[in-house]
Amino acid sequence: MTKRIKEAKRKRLLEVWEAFKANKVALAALCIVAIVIILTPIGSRIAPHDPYDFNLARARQPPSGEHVLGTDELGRDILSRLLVGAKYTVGISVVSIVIGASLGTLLGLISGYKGGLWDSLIQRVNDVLLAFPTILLAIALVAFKGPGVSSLILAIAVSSMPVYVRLVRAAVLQVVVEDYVAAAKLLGLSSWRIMLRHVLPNVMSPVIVQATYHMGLAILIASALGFLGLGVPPPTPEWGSMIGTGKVYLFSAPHIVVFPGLFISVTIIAFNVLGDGLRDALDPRARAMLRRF
Amino acid sequence: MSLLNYTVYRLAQGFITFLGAFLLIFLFVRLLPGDPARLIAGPEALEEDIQRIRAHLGLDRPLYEQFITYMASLLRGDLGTSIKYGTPVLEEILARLPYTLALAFVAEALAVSVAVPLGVLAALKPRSLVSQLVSVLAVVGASLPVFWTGLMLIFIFSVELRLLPSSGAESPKHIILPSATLAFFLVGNLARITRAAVMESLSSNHVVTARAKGLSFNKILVRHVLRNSLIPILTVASVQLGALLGGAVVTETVFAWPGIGSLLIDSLFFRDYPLAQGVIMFTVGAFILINIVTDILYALVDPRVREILWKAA
Repeated sequence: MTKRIKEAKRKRLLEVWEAFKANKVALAALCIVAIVIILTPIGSRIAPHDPYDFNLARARQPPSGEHVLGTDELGRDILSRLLVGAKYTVGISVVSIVIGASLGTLLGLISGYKGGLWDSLIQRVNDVLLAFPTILLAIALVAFKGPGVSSLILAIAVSSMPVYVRLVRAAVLQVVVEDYVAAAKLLGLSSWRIMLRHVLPNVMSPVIVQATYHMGLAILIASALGFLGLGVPPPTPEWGSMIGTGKVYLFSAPHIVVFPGLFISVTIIAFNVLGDGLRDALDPRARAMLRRF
Repeated sequence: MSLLNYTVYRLAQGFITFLGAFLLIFLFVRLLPGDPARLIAGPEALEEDIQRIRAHLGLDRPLYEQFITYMASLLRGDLGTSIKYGTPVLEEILARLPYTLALAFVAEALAVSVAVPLGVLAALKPRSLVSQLVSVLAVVGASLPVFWTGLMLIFIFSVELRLLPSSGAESPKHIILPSATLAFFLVGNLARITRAAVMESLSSNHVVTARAKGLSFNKILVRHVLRNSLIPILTVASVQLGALLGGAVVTETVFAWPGIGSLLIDSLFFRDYPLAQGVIMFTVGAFILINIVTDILYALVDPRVREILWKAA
């Protein structure tokens, strides 16, 4: 019995992969995302120069053999700063979205499955959070808590959470009427066990797609806050703050601003394209439609 | 349910959400680690200075008392007094508001006037280059950070070509670059929605009937297709407009545009804590209000929407 279920699960995963693989653009996006994520732990090891080593004698140099992407306003190697900066920009985004999505999913599960007082309470708080424009909520949180990695994570996690609460609650309401949930209830399983083992796996697809899109948004917010000087404080090479401190030299040394911007843009585009690809691959109806055209 | 009842219901609901948002900001500020008085005073401040600021802001009083005091003045329209300017916070906000409104409306108008023709063309020729351009723009436009596209536009049009001013708001010319930056962010999504809406209504029964009747294609396009595609396009455009009014913070900062967004960032750098809190509360209030007005306008325009909204209420 369990063997058959395992096999069915594997087959479904394989089907999703086949559908995903057919989309070459999404596949390319996956490669970029993989590279960027691998950079987070190993960036500082493969950086050709010390990202903090400044020397005004070689400040604002355009790209050359020695400094592939040039040097910044303090003569630091831009490529090295970008490679090490992935740890901050991308790392912070991953951690925040994992926290935001997990908390939001948990609250959405409780809200949809338990209903009643829990549901009203969670939904009212969620409505309030949704009343804030995302970037404003993030700015507000960071502003009142002071700059730094932990307040940035808090800000992005809290401002991305409400979407999952709403998404998961809606999905749960569709799932709880299914026969297998009724069967699990009849077997006398505890409601936590039903929620986590039987309901949760069936609402995960939209959560995964949403989280992929949100990675793009998280990088956008993290770098925007860095640009505004509210994110990770200098001299940490966070991508957005590199643009923020380099923008004064736009007239004389535009490469200081151009390269970090390209890194941010390509990463966000990759996450968004990957999200589109996952959505199409995970949703069998959309997949059938795509085949038709 | 009548329109008046619905309006009153939504306003009451919006007011409760606003109170909730206020409570949330209030609790965030006071219960999470970090001390606003210490932040305002700066790292080198003496303990007695911090105490004085704390007393000045009322942070030394019990939590419920602070809440009631602030709430009462908020309801009187008093958002507090700015530390930096020494003027009422509301006055500062109202002085900046026209700039934010102008930027949002010009940007949205620009986005609509590019996106709608693009979307219609793409829908008429789904396999054409225009259609592919719409798909690419929809991803790229929404992915590029506005602070970077803004700086790139400054580099091209102000530094290299010397055509347009890069910052400030002294002349009508100054609005071109910031609104183009925002429009670039919005245009792809709007064009994609237009394409989908037009394609859907092209294949709908009444259009097929009109074609069977022998009406000319241009007549059908204007009278039947565009009219029916208007609602989804307007929906997205108004949602975008609402987001712009609250979320153009970054763009305003890049171009030193003197709107509410840059006021917020300035207030944060001057540690003008009452001003920052006031701007945030004002923006959230405006955001809630815009959403309500949008819903009511739909109810007025579309009887089907009216049905759904009133059932939900």
